[in-house]
Amino acid sequence: MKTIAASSRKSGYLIFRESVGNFVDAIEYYSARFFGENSNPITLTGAMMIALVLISVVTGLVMLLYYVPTPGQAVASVNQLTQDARYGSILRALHRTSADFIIIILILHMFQGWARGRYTGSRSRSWLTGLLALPLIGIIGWAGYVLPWDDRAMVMLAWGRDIAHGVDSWPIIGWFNLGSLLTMPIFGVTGEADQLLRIFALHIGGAFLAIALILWHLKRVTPPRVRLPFAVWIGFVLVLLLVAAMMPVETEALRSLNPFELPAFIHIDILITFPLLFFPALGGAWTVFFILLILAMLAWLPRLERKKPRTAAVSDIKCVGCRLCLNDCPYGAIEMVPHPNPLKRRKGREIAKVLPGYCAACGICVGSCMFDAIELPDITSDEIELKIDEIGGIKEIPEPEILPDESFL
Amino acid sequence: MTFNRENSDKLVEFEHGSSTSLAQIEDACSIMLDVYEEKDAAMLEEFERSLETVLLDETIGQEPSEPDEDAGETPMDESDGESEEISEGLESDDDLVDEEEPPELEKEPEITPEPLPGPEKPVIGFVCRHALGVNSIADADGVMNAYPFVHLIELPCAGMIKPDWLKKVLEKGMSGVFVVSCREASCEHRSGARLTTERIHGKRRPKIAGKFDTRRFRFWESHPLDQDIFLKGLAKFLEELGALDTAEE
Repeated sequence: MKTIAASSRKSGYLIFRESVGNFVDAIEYYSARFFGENSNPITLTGAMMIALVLISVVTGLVMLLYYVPTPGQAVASVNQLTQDARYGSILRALHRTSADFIIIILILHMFQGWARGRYTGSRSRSWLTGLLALPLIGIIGWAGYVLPWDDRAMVMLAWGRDIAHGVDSWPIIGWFNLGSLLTMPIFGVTGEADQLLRIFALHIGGAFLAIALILWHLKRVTPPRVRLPFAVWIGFVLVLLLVAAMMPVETEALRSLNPFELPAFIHIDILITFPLLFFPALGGAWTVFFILLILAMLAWLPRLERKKPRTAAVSDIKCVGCRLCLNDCPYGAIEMVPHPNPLKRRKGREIAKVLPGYCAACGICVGSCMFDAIELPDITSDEIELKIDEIGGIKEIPEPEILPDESFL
Repeated sequence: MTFNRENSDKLVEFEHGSSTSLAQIEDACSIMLDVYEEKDAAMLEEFERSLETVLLDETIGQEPSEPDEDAGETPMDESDGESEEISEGLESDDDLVDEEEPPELEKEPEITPEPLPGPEKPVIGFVCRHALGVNSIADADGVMNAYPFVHLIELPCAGMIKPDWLKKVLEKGMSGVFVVSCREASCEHRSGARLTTERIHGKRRPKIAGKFDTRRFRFWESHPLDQDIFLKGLAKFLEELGALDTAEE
């Protein structure tokens, strides 16, 4: 009866989400059978993201040795890397492929997080920090395609400039004058050189920002699974190399001297620049508007499921400050605070405190506590022990006196 | 009274109503000492003094008697509420820091040749919500459809299981107890399966205090799609429990 009542309250969205979640679970299950429990790529999407970021940073650093960020020499330096340097073309292709895979794995990672409902409640913080990665990686990728300063770069730059100018016509965001950022001269350098420098800085600085974002994303999770097993590393790099070898990056022809004459056809990386595909039809401002709208909808998703299990609560009376729960909590939701009793506080005693925004109500702290000092209000250990007594059918000797403990309520 | 293996599962009653076994208290004291050692040597001394001096009677299961008035210098430290009771039964510092040997879980149960349907006494299973589709194999109260004497207690995570509960089930005279957790690699709360395994194997606090009959205990890592494997394992386990029960009778 209980379950029927619970299911009747489910919204259509929730039923849909859960059925997709079951599907993802099944995929994970069979993938684990195929790849092995510990090297299952479905459970390792997060660790794969970090591996990909590492690969792209390392390949990017090597490419940095060749690259010259001036309009006159950019194409030549990129061509030198691709054609003359040993393994240069594979290096560049690997950089591009890792960027593509970042998008694919990021979307997979988000999709399974969504399907399993791992974006609600305490996990909504990770969801939001992960969402920020989408536009950031889009911008880094866009800047990366401008850097060679070839024909494709010109198209990208024109689109980017139009988008920035389009946003400038908006009421509040327009005050920041993003469009002028791309055209305003810096360091006394004028013309195209300043634009290239600025976009170069955007590409490198964006990578730093992405790493910072990953750290923020992982901050809440202890211990995060960030290491790929060795066998997975090998397989993963092999796949990347294979894709890189099959799809080498093509530098477009050196741009025409007339900046207003854009090429009719360029190779576009759909993964990185897919929002730009809609650009010709929508125009800059609307493209940005729709991107922001989609992001806002994704950010609003956690509110659709107000799954709020009551978080764990600590009893001031029973807690002895032994830190077992602090060590075991997988969400970093426990911190030690000075004891509320001034006498004990003076002696340096501490008690555990639950940070409700971080607690997922998993109950691991309950299992770690030897003093029954931390409890989940929805299912207390007293209730469970009572159930054990009931099933055992043996009445326990009534306990002499139980003080009401209001901190659980 | 000295703490040893024989009396480790006796209970000490606290003021606020809960009761705890001596082994648990010993474990807790050693942790507290670890914590205090880091902080302040003077505080540690004070704490140890309070352990030595503040002591009540050693009776277990009886009414706690009043502290001896003639004991002279026994300044009752108000701020160490729990240490007053728990210092009972601890003789020296060595007792405090001694590690108890983890119970051996790897021992294979003795299987009698003729198969039996199952035990008559109840069996309790603690089940992670994400490890098994409990709704499909049990009713709303957790009683399994196939085995009415098997009760499933569904928890948000297997990491919530207190090792004491497992022991309590067997102490209550029930036939057996088992735990079903997620697989470690795909654990919903990341470390629930690992922590529980470590606690049960005595590698992590809290451990199972005192004697624990591992023949009457099973641990499964499962997945909702692996229900058949779990049910097969359970059937075998119940068979063994039935054999054990008849052998003991």
